Amino acid sequence: MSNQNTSTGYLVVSVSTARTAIPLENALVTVYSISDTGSSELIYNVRTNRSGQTAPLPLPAPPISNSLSPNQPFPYARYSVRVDYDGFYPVTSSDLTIFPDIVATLPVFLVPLEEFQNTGEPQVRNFPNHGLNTAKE
Amino acid sequence: MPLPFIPETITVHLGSPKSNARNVTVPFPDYIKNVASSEIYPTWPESAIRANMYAQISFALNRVYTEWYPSQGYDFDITNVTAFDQAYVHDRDIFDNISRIADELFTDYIVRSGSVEPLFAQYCNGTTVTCDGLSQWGTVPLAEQGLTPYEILTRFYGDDIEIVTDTPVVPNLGTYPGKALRLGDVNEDVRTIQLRLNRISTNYPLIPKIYPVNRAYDKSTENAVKVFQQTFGLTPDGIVGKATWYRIAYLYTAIKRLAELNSEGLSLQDVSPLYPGLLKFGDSGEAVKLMQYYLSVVGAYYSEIPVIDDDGFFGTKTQNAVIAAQKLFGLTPDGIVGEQTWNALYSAYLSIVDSDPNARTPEGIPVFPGRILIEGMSGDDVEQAQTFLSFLSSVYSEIPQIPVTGYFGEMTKDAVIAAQKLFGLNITGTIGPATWDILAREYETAVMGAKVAEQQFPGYTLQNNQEGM
Repeated sequence: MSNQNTSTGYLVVSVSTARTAIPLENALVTVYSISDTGSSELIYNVRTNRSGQTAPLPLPAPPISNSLSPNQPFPYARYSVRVDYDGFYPVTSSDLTIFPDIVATLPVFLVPLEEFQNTGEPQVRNFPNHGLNTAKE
Repeated sequence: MPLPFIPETITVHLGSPKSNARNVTVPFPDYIKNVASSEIYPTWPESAIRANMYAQISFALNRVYTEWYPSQGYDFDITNVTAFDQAYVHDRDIFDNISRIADELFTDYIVRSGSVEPLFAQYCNGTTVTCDGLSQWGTVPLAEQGLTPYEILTRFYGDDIEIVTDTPVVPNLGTYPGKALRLGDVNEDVRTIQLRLNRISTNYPLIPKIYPVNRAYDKSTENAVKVFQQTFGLTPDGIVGKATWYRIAYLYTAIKRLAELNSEGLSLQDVSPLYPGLLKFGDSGEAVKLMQYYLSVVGAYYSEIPVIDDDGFFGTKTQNAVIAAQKLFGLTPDGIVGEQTWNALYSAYLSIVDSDPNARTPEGIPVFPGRILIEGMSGDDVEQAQTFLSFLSSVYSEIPQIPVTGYFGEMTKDAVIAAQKLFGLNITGTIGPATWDILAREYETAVMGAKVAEQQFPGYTLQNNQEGM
């Protein structure tokens, strides 16, 4: 629940192709919050720099005490990210785990579309719940 | 059994061992960063993070060292299922503090005193699951009490453990020289770093060029190192310690590989891409080589496809790569290249080649001309070799400067001998395939490293009457 997120974590999205060999400038990065009801809200719409990276984006996160002892609910906040770049398959990644005062970097490796395509189905990456998060939310 | 080493990459099966899941092959430090980010929380005290990471590294190295899965006939090193191994979530977000620690720790592991084998360091969360090994949650209060990572580990694994440090990374990466490079140092390792950073900065132009490349760790070098460190999540102290050394090595290797594939592509561009007939394990020849080339290019973009040599021989490694590609394309993973597999491979290759986003892929470097060049010969190939040597002499003072005339005279021979000495080749004074190959690679690194992009700091200040870059 969003009223738990009284602290701030940070997200950097790093976009490249050929798995880091070629960084992609001006990739469109969209960050969404994820609520328990499954609805998402757009928080950021930014572009990457010449090294393929966004600035560190501040995101609401729960207090640090939630992740320092077991069985606390909401040890982290969850977000999803979509990356678009002309000529490449879009990628959506969720759920990202954002902790207070920690910078998380999401590496996004894009692959080119087929020669005859202008757009393609986004490649979807779904990350499971963190293994330590055994508390029921 | 030989001594343990750090594998440059590790192949992870994304499912339980018997399942038909994909494998991914990733750099070992990246694997550890991912495991740590997936197994523990980054908010924990640093001592607890380090203790957990030693266990995670040792566990993985034990699997690699004992060849646990390959000895059972599997084509991977480890799985990402916690019932069998440890958590790994492919392409997940990585925590910067965990990343920095992993860059430092990934060459270190736990052993039982008197043993060389990396400890099979079992662990569990310590709350819903208890075990005879490290308790993940148990490390937190111990760290808060001020215990060091080693002390925390002895609590769970006993006193008779030691931590082995600075293990070599094998096979291609080279080994950290053992002493950090910093402002004021003058030596060979500094030049290696300067050349590599310049080559990396051609793809990442926010990193300024280093000029001159002269083995001296000056302000220009320190500046480039700092920007590199900032870009790749390392402590930006301007000193090339172990973590920075290996990060430079990994990135340089990736960029170089792409450049070499590009060169190879130019030499193959007249070769017909039509399906050459069935290719399978045991075959050899030009068609196999072409197929390996397409596989290599696609593999540079997909971690599912492991790296192979384009040697024209369809062996086990090639077969595994074919199977990986077939899984990727949704085809029957039988390791045989029939028409469907060939066409899917070629199509994926084409889409990559056409994608060149900013036309920044490097020009090709000519391949060995097919005749050994010796004193007295003339031709375009001699002129090309002289071009290599002439440019390299501006970087390596060991190589004398020579005029580029197209005639292989005594000066050229002296330059060849100097280059062969420098690069550890047989000193013949003639240019065969091995010498050509080294000269071409060094030239590509140096010449591409010297290319300055728009708005990139070239490493020196332009004078009033100089042309802008």
